[in-house]
Amino acid sequence: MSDRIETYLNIAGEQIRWKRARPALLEELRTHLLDQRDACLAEGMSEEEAQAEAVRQMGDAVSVGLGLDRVHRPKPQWGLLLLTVAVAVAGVVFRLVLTAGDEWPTASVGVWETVLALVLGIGGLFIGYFLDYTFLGYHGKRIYLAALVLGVAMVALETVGFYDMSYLAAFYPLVYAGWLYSWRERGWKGFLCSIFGMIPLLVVRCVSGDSGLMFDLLVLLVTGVLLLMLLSWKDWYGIGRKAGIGILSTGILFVGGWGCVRVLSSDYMSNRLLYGFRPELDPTGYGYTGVNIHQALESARWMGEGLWAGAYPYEMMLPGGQEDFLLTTMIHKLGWGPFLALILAFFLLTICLLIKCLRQKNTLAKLTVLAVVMPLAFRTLVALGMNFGVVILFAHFPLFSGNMALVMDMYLIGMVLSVFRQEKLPITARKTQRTYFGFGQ
Amino acid sequence: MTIDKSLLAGSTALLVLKLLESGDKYGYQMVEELRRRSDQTFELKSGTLYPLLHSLEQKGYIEAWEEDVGTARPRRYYHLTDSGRRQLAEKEDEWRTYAGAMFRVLEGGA
Repeated sequence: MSDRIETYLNIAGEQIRWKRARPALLEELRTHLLDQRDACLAEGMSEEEAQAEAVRQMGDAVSVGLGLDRVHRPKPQWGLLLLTVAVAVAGVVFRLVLTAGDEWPTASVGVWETVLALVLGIGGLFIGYFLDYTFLGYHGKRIYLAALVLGVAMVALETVGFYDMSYLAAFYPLVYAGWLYSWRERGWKGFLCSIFGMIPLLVVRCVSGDSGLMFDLLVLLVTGVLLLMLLSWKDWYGIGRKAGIGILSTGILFVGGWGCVRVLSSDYMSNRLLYGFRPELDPTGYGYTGVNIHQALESARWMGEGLWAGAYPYEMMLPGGQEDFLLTTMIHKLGWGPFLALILAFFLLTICLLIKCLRQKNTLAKLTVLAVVMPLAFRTLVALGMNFGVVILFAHFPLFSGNMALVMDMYLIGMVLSVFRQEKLPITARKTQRTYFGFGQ
Repeated sequence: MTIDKSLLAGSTALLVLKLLESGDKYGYQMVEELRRRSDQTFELKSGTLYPLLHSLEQKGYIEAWEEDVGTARPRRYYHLTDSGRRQLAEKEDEWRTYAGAMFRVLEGGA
């Protein structure tokens, strides 16, 4: 029906080299041309004349296309991809070297499993990198429900074991970000649904308890609150910035205060806190691991293996040194030098991710990146603390311990890099039809 | 009266931000409103408008949203962000200073 218009769009489209950006850009031009044509028809022109006039007013198709092509180009992230792979490879090599040998009380880390995890991880990195992350924004509610159903199913079936819940929970901040994004301009209902949407995720995670539970809950809470704050600041729900921030701050004070009271009034929790920071007060109980880690670190050298003064060999005294406390093992066996080199490479990666994250202008891009990078940064801090003897929460050091965790970390980092790559993709927040400043056709 | 296009070129971004100050709009509406508000003086070519809108969006001055109305013609509305409002105020000041100086010279002060 709109032959001239379609021809025009084809020519303009041919100039836009980034295929993924093309449909959204052409759709916008099409709507404009059709609006213009309708206006001309209303003035009494024939269909043919109206289309010709609409196309004339739009301007030369080639220069329109070239103009859009200049603005919308992918930004490849080869440097960060390479850095991620390099850090992961270094992590795997160190893990295999450090855990080889018969001194460990449990079987050493399997070479083939670890190499397979690395290969899968690199695959995951590229899959995340090339996939379109915007599905999170367009299907936020569906993804949220699917993640809940999956969580409930995992708990109910119990076939996969509780430990696996922490893998699913690692995606929950991202799932929650998609949920928040879907409530744009929905007023108080949207605001409340956004806040209370966190509860089912927390509950599903709570039902299955393991050592990573406290960490997962804290990560989801802290990241979730940060995302909510960000959206309230942008007045995402249309309830006013002051109202959103005010209610959230009150909620944080209330829940935070209640949390502190709970922690301090529970013997178990306050002991964990106390002996986490002062392990020497209970060297054979709560503080056992912390004391051994302190001993390993105190005797570590800059290069080479430190002297171990324990009653039994290091491997016997700190069995977790194969996985959770691998960095301690690294410092003890190889020295501070190699440890600092690896950590600096990892920090370089994290800082690059954080800086680029803060530069994101698009709301969906910012939410997605924050929902991955915040938990990653939080995990890095907790895992570093653990490896320095502050054993309160448990977390894998990103890209460094655990096979499944490695694959997931790399996929998530790939997703962040995909956001950076598609920084110039036209993304449109959807909203259901409602009055908007009294405006609308 | 038709005016030299190069006069308009430097200030299109300012005009676009100004149009959005009074409420969210989509591209076609902006072209029409600009024509009306400038007494037909400013003919903003749509081909110039969209790359400009998209680059303003990438700078964070405006944000796009779309009504989810199923089969109806989807319209991409643009919304002025806080950072866009600041940019607008800055550009307006700049323009007023420039225009004031221009007038003084044209009117041949001492």
